[in-house]
Amino acid sequence: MMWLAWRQFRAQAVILAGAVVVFAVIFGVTAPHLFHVYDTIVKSCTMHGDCNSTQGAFLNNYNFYEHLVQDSIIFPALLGAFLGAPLVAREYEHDTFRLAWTQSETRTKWFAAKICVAGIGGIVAIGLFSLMATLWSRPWDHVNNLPFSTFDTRDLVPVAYAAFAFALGVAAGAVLRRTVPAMAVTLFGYAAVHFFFSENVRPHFLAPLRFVSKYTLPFFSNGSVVVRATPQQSDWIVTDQLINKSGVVIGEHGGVGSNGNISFRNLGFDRASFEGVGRCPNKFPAPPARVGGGETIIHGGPSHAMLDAMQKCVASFHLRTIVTYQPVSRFWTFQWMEFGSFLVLTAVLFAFSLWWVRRH
Amino acid sequence: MLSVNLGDGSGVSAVLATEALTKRYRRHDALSDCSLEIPEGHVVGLVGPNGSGKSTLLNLAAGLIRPTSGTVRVLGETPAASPAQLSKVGFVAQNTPTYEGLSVSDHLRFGAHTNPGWDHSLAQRRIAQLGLDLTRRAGKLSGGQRAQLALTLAIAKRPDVLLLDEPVAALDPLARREFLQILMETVADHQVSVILSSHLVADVERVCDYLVILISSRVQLAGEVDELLASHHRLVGPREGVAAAPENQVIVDSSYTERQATLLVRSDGPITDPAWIVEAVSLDDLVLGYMSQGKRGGGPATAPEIPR
Amino acid sequence: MIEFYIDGHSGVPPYMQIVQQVRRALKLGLLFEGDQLPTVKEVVGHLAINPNTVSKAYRELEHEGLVSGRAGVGTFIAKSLNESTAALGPLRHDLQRWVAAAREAGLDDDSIEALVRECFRSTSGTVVA
Repeated sequence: MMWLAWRQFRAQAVILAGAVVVFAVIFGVTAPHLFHVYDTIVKSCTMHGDCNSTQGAFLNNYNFYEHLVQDSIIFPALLGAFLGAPLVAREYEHDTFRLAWTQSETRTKWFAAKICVAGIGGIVAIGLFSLMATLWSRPWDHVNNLPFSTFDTRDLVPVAYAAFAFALGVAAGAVLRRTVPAMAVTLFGYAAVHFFFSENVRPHFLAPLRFVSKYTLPFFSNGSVVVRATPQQSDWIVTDQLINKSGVVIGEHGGVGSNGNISFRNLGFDRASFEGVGRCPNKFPAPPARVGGGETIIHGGPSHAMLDAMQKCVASFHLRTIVTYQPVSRFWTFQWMEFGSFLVLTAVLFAFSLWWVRRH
Repeated sequence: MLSVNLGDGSGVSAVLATEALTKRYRRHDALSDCSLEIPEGHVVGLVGPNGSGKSTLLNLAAGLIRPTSGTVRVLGETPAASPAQLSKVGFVAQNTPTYEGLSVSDHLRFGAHTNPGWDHSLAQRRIAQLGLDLTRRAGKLSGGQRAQLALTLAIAKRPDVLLLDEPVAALDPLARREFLQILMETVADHQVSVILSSHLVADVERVCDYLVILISSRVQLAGEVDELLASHHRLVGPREGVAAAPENQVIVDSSYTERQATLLVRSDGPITDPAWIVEAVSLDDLVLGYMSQGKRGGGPATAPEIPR
Repeated sequence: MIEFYIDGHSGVPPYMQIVQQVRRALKLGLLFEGDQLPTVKEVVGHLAINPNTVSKAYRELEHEGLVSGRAGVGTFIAKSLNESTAALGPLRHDLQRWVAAAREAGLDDDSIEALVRECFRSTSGTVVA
């Protein structure tokens, strides 16, 4: 049966190997320049000052390739749909299972041979890609400094995703007995499970740490964007809530609006308010610029008197921010936990498929 | 090889033994309450209209599907219970599926890799005899060639019993004849038992010496062809005579005009009543008689016992 | 060597057709003592019929003393049919007289045939049983 499994996988193996080679060439051609720029310009930016623009330019320059790596998040799904789903379904569609199951070897052996050969082939291909992508992305990741934002396409987890998507494809094919519907189920099923995991499971692998701070208006950089210090830039902020004096949550995402801001409104007649928080008890000086009809959003540099009044107002609300976060030190623990979770799901799906195939 | 009789009454010498075998799909019965015991060494014809359960019975015997209730034993063992059991049964499925993308020689290699008793020289001889190109992909073979390839795979594993599900239904007359020639040569050479389903009675008549008639998922008749032919007669006589038909006769099928009755009867002894003209029946008549009885839904009053 | 054929529409069982074809070939002088009949496998490969049918025909012929099987070699003609035709003379004579009597009694050919067939059946029934 091993022979048959290998013979059937041969064409797909060539395609997989070809894809790996293509990516190896892309990474191989671009890597020397990338590393050179990183070593010579970005690393030494601290000496020349102006690190922000240098790093920003670096990230922008290599955005195209980094998008390529980020988009590889769909590779496991493709593997499941094109390698996993037809594996059993096509045998049903072409009736060849009647040929395969009536040779002198058991169905269990047939199934094991098929998933071993195709599964290992596919997982090795994804593993190689992930290894290349991770190594290539190092400089970019180092500058970007948000490891959890690229969690899905780095290091271990792509391998477990590939195994899971493959097993999902096999199971869908075994149950539906049709290749095309099984492919669709695999794509949507994988996307759903992956989304569910990254939104609802991964944040709670370990209890997140809490960081409570008094909310002050830190400073206005240009415009109304409020930049607030986080525990560490590379940590993963899970929730960032704003609560008022009586402990009621009045905002997610670090602010009141959906964009994490707090909007200031000048109501005229020396009165002002912070939207969604309340009216300011103190009086405001007249703005230096023009006073509009009803509301004015502060642009450019407000006067000192204005800033003082705003600080006073915000302080009167006794706002607090509660940040829960996963520290960057947990990155590898989380990689292993996600890896293990998906391997367990994979094993469950394989066991189910085998049971199903033997029963029906 | 030691075979174990699990002691439920199915003898080891039976090539296929079933007891109250039933296969039910969601709403309908594909096979109901089928009890059979077919001795070894026969070429068995499984006949009946489409959808009568022939395929279901063969797939149950090959272990591809599992019974809803009842038991099925092939050569005394549960089908597909072990590699050893699988190696004793050759199966050619309906429409003779093969791997489209694999060449003829790939198929032979597949057979060699998956069957311990693989007879490579036999397989090669067959392919040479058929004039098949070893490098040709199975997807490019004609229906007849594909059927021959599937049969070669089933034969070269050197089974004790061959199960063939409508192997010739889709073939033209020449390909059909060639297929049956090779099948019969194999039977002569290797003393293999064969169970084949077909709705072509002419083929069954040629190659089979044991007949099982399945109608609407039930076994209507089973036995050796010679015995069945010897025990069935066509009676032609006056219509009033029907009521007085002798006791040792069971009416299988009947048709009437105003005065005349034509009966297909099963009888154990000679028919001496001079009122009837007695004629021998052909296998065709026999099968058709049982089929039309099944179509009318012949009740228990007219349904003959199944000879065991 | 002789080549058999099977007529699927004759109503005669296939094994009996083979027996009849051997008998006829003997009568026509196509087969002589010592001639070999085709092996079971050859017949089967040619006609696509059940091997048991051929074996049964050969057994029947052997039973009649017309052929003899040699293990591992084949089946050979044991004697020609000339002698047995001698015994036919008186039987034929009797039968001709009986047919004439039947016609005289008013039976037509079809009725005579039906009668003969019925007798066959009733006597063969008792002999076999």
